[in-house]
Amino acid sequence: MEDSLIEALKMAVGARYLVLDPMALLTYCCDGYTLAEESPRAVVLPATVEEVQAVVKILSAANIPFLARGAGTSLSGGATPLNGSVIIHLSRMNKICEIDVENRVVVVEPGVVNVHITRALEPYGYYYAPDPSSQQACTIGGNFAENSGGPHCLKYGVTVNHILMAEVVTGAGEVVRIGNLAGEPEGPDLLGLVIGSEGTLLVATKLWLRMTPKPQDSQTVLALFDEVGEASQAVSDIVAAGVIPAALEMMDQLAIYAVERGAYPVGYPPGLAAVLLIEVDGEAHEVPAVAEDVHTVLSAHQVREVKMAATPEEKARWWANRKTAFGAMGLISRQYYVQDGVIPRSRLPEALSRIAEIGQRYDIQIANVFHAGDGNLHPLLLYDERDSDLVERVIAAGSEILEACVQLGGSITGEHGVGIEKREDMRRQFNDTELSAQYAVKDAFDPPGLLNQGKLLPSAPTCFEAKPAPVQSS
Amino acid sequence: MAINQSREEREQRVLSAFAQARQDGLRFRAEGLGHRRRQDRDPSPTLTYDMRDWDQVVSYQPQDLVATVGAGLPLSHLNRLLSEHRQWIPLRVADGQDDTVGGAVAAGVDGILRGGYGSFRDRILGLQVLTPGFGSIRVGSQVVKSVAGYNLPRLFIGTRGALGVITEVTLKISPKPRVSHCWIWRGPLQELLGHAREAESLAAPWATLAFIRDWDQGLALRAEWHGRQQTVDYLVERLGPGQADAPLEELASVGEQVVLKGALPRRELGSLLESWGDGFLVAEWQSGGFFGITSARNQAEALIAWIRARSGGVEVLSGPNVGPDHAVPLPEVWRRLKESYDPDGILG
Ligand SMILES: Cc1cc2nc3c(=O)[nH]c(=O)nc-3n(C[C@H](O)[C@H](O)[C@H](O)COP(=O)(O)OP(=O)(O)OC[C@H]3O[C@@H](n4cnc5c(N)ncnc54)[C@H](O)[C@@H]3O)c2cc1C
Repeated sequence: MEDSLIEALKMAVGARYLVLDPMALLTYCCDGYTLAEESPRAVVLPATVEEVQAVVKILSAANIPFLARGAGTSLSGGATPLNGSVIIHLSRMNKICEIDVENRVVVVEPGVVNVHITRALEPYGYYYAPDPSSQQACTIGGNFAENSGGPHCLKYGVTVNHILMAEVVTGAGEVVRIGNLAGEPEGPDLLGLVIGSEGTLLVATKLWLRMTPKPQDSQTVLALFDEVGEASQAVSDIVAAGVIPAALEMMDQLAIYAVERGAYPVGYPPGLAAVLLIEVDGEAHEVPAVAEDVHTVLSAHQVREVKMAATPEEKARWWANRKTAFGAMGLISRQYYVQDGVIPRSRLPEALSRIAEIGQRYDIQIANVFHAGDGNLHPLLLYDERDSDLVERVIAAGSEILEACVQLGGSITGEHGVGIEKREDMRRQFNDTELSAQYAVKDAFDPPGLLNQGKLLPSAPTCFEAKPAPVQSS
Repeated sequence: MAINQSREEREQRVLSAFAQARQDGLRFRAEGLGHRRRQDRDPSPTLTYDMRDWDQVVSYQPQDLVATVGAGLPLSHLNRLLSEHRQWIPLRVADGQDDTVGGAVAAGVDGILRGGYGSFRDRILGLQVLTPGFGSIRVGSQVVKSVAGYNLPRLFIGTRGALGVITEVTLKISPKPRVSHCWIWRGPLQELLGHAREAESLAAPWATLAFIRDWDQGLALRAEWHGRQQTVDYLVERLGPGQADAPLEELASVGEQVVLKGALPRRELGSLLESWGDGFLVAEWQSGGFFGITSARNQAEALIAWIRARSGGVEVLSGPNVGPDHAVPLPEVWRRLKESYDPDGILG
């Protein structure tokens, strides 16, 4: 990087907060998606919106690509720098600025860790609802960019349903507020559009979030199955019975094997094919009745056992066991590749048997730990990076799983985003014209294309131009 | 006629109408049931296109709680179909009017059940849209969760067809509650606020906690619980007998009305109820959403400015489009989007 640029960036954030040392830059070469790596040109750590603005102006004037980064837990390569990008690491912008109980709004900087928000709201009887399993580490800025979900999003919705207003810095370095305190768009819902845009449209510097009242009561139900098909049919039947649980999660045999070797074993009996973990919550008189309904639906299936959590500790353990499932894969395999596809809930039995068939055909072990209530699958493909043939098979199998999701009427990603990983898979879900309509969004926000290059949309759009409609006069 | 037409044939008809509008120098406007018509300040000659024959149910899988329907299908018809499976779209607009599904999406309407069921916009999973710039495109998805690409449905919700004509809508459906029960209190605002707070402290979320200010400026609070009998029994014990159901206030016509819809931060709702002036207002306590009618243009203008000054959002839903223009954030972005989606500017 040119000396004058280095000086300008140092002036903007302070010399301490500009990282150029190649060794230090190594930690920024990728995020949770480790199949693509590239070193950033530099990393800057601004502490205020003014500093972010100054940095963006310097970089855009020099035509240097850049991207924001939170905790780097993205699983699709969103935070991995491409084409010599500069990383704007927002970890110093980590203040909870205001808790406005009367309006039920909490104001946070983007570097605040997700779970810290809930902790700060606890004394007031509220929490921040979207709870990615990575919530102990991931930041709200990353959640904004990925439109993250989590186990409890089945009932409470994902990030886009919980952000009311955002302060953002555009690619040209303009600071703008989008939305209002009431979360009510006037005309185009630009806020809804930019949430989930994977940092390709702008950088969020402050967020106004909805505070959700803590439910009066909750009950967790655990169901142990000898057959995956029975478990997945039970998922559909619970919802068809008119129950929307707060969470409805599923783990299959291999996943159970791994979590039982992890830090929070539940003591599952041997030989289980699947478990369902179901949480119902709400008004205190209602919860036991709804839990009972869930119990009844489950018992109508071939189920080995249905249990209600007897104590808060038991419930916490069941959840800790589930939420650490990805990490537990490390205990049974050197590496794992997380896929993230969505299918209509009613196609779950079919989807799981297709995944099993793909695993067999490619000779890959696949564990399934996922948000069953949403039909949001997370097949975990186990591999060893030293076996290059296996790595290739894993990638090919992952891609086939996505194709199956699309064929079943679903989506190539439910919450982990497109990033680098699924750019080309976008073509499975959208045709060229539809992709052109998406490129138009990128072009409208970021005409020079400097923000988070090489993410979200497939390379080389085949037909991006605002072309007149294919019409004939009648 | 329409029943036998394929989607492609119908789309071709709309695209031909685009061409016609372009050729004749007209604005193209799609119309559903017509209850949310907004009279523009500078009305241009318009080609109005009736969408009511886009009324097919494309797919409905009760187990998935998802349905894809033609944009011209009235919500009342859809709800009749869904009720066979004890499901529904809980959109109850305060004026009791029916809308086509596409019209409700394009006008950005919401209802009094927003506090309990979330906003209507959050139910919209995907759309099929006809745009002059790109032709027919599918945006969003047909499943309850997807982050594949940009969240394009958000560009079409509430923008009244400015970027494209919605032809199909994929919606998230809700199960119908086992029971519902309703309490209505009348009295001065402070007393009603007390009831609302008490209700919230007993149970949450309520399907609605709606303050209603009627034409005679009388105030009422309508609290509706949707759920299980156990909770209703408990609430009856604490709040009094209530009733199984009660119709919403009748809305009389008062000539040239301005209908406003939007939301305010909760703190401001009491002041809104106090300062509404002549007209009718429903304001939902949990969500801050409101729906109001006034017959005085200057009052509507003052209210719009007042709401925006308090970081609320407000728009004219129907009637004369009064009030200061909202400064769209990022106007350049909007201009570029408009140029791509509607290069000849034929959409209103
Ligand atoms: C073990 C594990 C479990 C996970 N579980 C879930 C889960 O249950 N649900 C789920 O949805 N995800 C999950 N994830 C994925 C990941 O945690 C989320 O995508 C998360 O939102 C990323 O946050 P981050 O702070 O780590 O962002 P990063 O990884 O640093 O960045 C992610 C993207 O956000 C952009 N970005 C970051 N900050 C900003 C900003 N302020 N403005 C604009 N763009 C910005 C980056 O450019 C990048 O494109 C999981 C990941 C792991 C490792």
